[in-house]
Formats: sequence, C-alpha cells, structure tokens
Amino acid sequence: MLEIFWYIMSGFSGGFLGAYLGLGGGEIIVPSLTIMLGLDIRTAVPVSMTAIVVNSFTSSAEYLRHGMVDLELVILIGFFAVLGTLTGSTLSPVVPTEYIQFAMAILLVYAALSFLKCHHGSKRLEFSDNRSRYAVIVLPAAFGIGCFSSLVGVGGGVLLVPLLYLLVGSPLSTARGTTTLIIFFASAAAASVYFLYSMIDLRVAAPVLFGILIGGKAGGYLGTSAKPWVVRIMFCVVMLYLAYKLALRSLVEWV
Amino acid sequence: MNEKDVYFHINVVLKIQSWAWYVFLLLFGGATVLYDLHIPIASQLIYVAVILMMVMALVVALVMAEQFRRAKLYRYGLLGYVMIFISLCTLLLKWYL
Repeated sequence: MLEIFWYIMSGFSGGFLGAYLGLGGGEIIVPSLTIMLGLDIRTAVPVSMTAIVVNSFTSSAEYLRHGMVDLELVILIGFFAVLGTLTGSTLSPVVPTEYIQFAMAILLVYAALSFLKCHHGSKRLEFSDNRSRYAVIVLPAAFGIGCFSSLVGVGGGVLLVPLLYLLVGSPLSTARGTTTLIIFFASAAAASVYFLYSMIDLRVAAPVLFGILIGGKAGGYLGTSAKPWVVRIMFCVVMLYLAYKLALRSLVEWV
Repeated sequence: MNEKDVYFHINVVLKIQSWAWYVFLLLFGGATVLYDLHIPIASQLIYVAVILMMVMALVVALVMAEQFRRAKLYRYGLLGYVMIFISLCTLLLKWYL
C-alpha cells in the first residue's frame, strides 16, 4: 500500500513540475523511480515515457484553453521533432551515446545561460516571411532535438522550450504551451514502441499514471498564470541539473 | 492570437481532452485500486487504458490536421497527415520486425 502511495506521489510531482514548466516530467519521474524507489532503469524509462504522454495530454488542454498554444508551430516543429524521435529510437541500438550525452550537456548549459540573459519581447519569426531561416536553423534544430533526446533518453521539452523562446521568438508562456502539445505527439510515438515490445510494467504504470493525471492538471492550471521570471529560473535549474546528470553519465561510460 | 486561429475550431480538441481526462482518471485510478486488491482484471484494465491513450493521440493529431485543412491552411494540414502516416508506418515496421 505504501509502495503504491509513493508511485502516485512520484507521478504527481513529475506531472506538476512538468506541466508547470511545459516539460514532460520525465526528469523527475525517472530519478524518483530508480533512486528513491529502487526500480531498474529499464522499467522506469518506459513507464516514464507513457507518463509523459498522459502529462502532456492533460497539461496541453489547460494551455490550449488559455490560448497559449501556437498551433502552426505545433505542426511545423512537431513534425520534425517526431521525425527526429523516430530516427533516434531506430538508431539507438547502434549509436554510442556517451559523446552525444556530453554534447547535449554542454548545449543545455549554453541554453540555460542564454535563457537567464534573455529578457526579450521580440517578434515571432513567421514561417511565411522567414522560410530560409526556418529551413536552415529552426527545423533542423527541431529534428536534432527529437533525435538527440530520443538517443539519450530525456524528454525533448527541456530543449524545445528554449528553441521556441530563443530562436523562434515566441513568448515564454506560448513556448511552454506549444511544447506540451509537441511532446504529446513525440512521446506517444516513442511510448507506442515500448508498448508494442511489452516493456511497460503495468503494475508500476497504473499508480504513476494516476498520480500524473492529477499533478499534470494542477501544474497546467497554475502554469497558465505563472510569472515568467519564476518559470525562467526554475527552467534554468532543471536544465543545469539535467546537464550535470548527462555529463556525469557520459563520463562514467567513458571511464 | 493569430488571425488564422479564428478559423480554427479548437473546441473539438478541448472537448476530447476534457472527456478523456475523466475517462483516464477512472481507468488508471480503478486499475491502481484493483492492483492493490490483487484482482487479476487490473492488468487488462490498464492495458485497455494505455491503448486508448495511443488512440487518443492519433485522434487529436487527425482532428488537428483536418482543422488545418478546413481553415485552408493546406500546408499544415498536409504536414499533420504526413506526420501521422510516418509515425504509423514506423510503428508497424517495428512491430513487424
């Protein structure tokens, strides 16, 4: 009974923070299931990926209701992010990930510092007026984020929000809302693969998904009225924490 | 709000999400309780819920692509349909292999 309670709490906390910041919540769920509850990483990751689908589904409803989702960007960026996710999951058995993890850690630190410095209110980069910039920078970046995040096993949200905020010029609230819906499609594709291979532990998944449904609803609701500076600082903390974890993991694999 | 969003009836997606949240809460909550009571039907319930969730992702993607097509934003509608097609093809290929 106590074990089920902690599974629910793990889902709730991941769902709350993930929905509040416009992430999937895997950054919280995987460490809490492995480090705190002693589950194997191969059990935790498929459960986390399924939980991310539920969380992004729940929280995107709140962001959509408040008009904080740019639907054109969802399709445009989402298309390339989903392609990247599918490519990454196909390549993952043959690609050595330690270099990619280290590169992604550096990218995260750079994104976190840029995020802290940037207080812009710049105009959104319209696709119809900036096709060449989209074709050369934004869309390949979305593909790369999908691919890299799938290869190293982290949610793409932590890089998609900076992409939309720093490169596309979306307001932070719209960047978070748009990312939740993009993650929904990308993680649904990845979770389906785990489901087809029967890798999801249903006994663990049930309470985690129950917790994330409630946490995601609460986080999404509060996230729509969150102050941008609070979100920016919290986001930087999550990015730096993830960079530290990835750098550590890649160094361990090297040694 | 983008002026093109006027043509985009997002209420359909919102209604689906709103109903689905209650259904999932019932299914996952029910499965958690049944697992705790060691009733075997729990695994079937969660199995159905996860399949339903994947179907929901497909339905939302389809609705969005169709909404773009109706709003005469054909490029985005086409991208939506191609995304669904590629995702389904990859999944079927992985399943087959």
